Amino acid sequence: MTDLLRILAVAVPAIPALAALCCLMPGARARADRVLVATGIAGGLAGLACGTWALARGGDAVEGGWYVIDAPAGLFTLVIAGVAGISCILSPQYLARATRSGVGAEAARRYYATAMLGFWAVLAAVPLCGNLGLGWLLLEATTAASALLVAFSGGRSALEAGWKYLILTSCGLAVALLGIVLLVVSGTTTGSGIGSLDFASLRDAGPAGGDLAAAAAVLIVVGMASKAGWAPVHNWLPDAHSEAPPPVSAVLSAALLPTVALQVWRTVEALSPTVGQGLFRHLLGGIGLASLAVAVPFLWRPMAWKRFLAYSSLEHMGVIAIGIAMQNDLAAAGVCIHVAGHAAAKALGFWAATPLLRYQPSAGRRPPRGLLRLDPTLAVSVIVSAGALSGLPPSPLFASELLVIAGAVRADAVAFAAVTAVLLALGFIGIIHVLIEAVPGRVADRRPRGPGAIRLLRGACVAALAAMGVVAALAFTVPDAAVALTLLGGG
Amino acid sequence: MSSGVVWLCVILGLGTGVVRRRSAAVALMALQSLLIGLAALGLGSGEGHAEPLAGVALVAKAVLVAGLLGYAVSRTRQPRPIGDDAAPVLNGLVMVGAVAAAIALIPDAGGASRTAMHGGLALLAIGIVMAAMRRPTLFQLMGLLTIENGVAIVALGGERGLPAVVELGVIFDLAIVVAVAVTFQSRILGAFGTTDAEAMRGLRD
Repeated sequence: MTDLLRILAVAVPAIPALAALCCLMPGARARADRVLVATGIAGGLAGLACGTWALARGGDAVEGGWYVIDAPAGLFTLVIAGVAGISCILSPQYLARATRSGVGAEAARRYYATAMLGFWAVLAAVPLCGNLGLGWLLLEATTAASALLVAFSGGRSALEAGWKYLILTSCGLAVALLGIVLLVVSGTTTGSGIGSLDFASLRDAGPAGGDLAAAAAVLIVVGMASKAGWAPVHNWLPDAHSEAPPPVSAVLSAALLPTVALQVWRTVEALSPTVGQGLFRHLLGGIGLASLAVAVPFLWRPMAWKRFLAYSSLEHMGVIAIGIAMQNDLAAAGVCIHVAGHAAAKALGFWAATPLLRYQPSAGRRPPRGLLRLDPTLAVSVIVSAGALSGLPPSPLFASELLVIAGAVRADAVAFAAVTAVLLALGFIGIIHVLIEAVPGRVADRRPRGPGAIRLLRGACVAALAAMGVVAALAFTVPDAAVALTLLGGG
Repeated sequence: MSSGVVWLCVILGLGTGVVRRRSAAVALMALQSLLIGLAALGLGSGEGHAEPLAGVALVAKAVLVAGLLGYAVSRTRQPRPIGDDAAPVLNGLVMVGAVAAAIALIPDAGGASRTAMHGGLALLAIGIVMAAMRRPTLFQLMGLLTIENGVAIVALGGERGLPAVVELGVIFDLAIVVAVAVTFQSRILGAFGTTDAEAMRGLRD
């Protein structure tokens, strides 16, 4: 049976990779659309099967030379497959109205499909990678494809956002690479070859390397923080998420950012015996609080829907950083639930942006208004997304934030927990205010004909609600589950 | 790596960071990358090292990156140089300050060559300052390349280096990122009429 799981794990990145190659071949305009939808279904189902199976195996991980199929890999594979799969299925609706300067419609569709599927293929491999060096290579590889997607429209704002994203995240990852080199140089790694950077090998290395290993760990976390969108190296995040096509924004926010956090988490777990838990607690805790503190004031300001969601991503990545920092079962469970719940809620918010920007183009620059009169499905999607992101019960994010705060209290970081709770409460008020402004009211915008995007959004909304329902129902079993314990060195 | 090569690379990095002309900066950058590749070729294989292989790849990368940067310069010629950039002396001073801070903050490596470590950190600091302070977007890209060269120097200076797969993967990834960044250059010029990063300030809250 494990061989079948291995084959499935190979298929998860291979399906979008092969589909990306198909898109490179010259063909009719409709081919890119069909490939996107077919890959969204096939790749999504393969990821859901692989992720569910890995989660069901609990602490019984399948490990190889450089890969690991454990419960956390299963959770993140599920998240990536769900978000990227549905984003690909929704992409033709975006492309139907999208304009891109400089190239024709067919070339633009092929360009989009190739970059999107290539991005998905590389991203899908990251959670399955059990090696720090290869994980770094995969994260760097996501940058090139996703930067092209951020700048897809070719407008000034999109180019500015794409360039900023490319340079800032690449520089951050270069700093993380220096950290990996210092880890090798400090003697923390044992043996030679690619296996020396396996997370399992790093964990078994024990206390070695001294101050240089600690400096290496700081450089790795700070460098990867720029890719995870954590403050204070988050400047690219609001721009890239607001300027990218909505399906791409969904993958960036709901799948890419947490996957980078998983790499940081595995690194923290592997290096804690070497450099001590205290260093990571202070570093990631500070990063998490800074992210929350930076994000909350922007959640209070009226701004365009996608930009608002981008600042919400900063807030939620802050919660994830705090959860990782605490390194106990409650906080770890909180992070796992948060990743799943945030993915469903945030992706739904970005998926709703495609019909929203079509029906109410001014929402690209200003807060949306009168959504209920504009379209009930759109209004429900926005209410579900923003309501869940605010942490309003029964959102799974309510349970996850509670668990992260409880984890901080258990870790004797009471002041930390108090500040986190206050910032989350302020964020909650800001998001609810946005909802109150966006849903009721009259609008001048007219609903165009051809509501295909709304039909698809209705399906996506049902899928997101179902995912959040399952996560909320299972939330209180997670603290004892392998998905949380594995990332604490147990399981 | 010999101390002379390491410090020559640092001087070339400083030069790249302070010159005004993009073509001159590309030439200095290419020379720096080539020196590191040739130095790697001259090293023997150690435990976990793959210097000759990495050396060939680094030389190939230097040639490829220089070609791509040269192509970007030729495709994005502008009627006049981007003005109001910080004075070369100020850029140089900030870079020297950043170099001193980086060397002071990172502890000495027991097993690594002290010179390689300091040289690598110096290039890291120069690269970060270049990416943050220089206005022409091509200089921001060269800041990233300078950081990567610094990482290569530290890796080559240690008793054990990165596994060969990772070393080659880093070079491949970097080449892809540079190729994407070069495609951005002409699109930025087309949209903004300049490759001055100061023009790209439309996204603010």
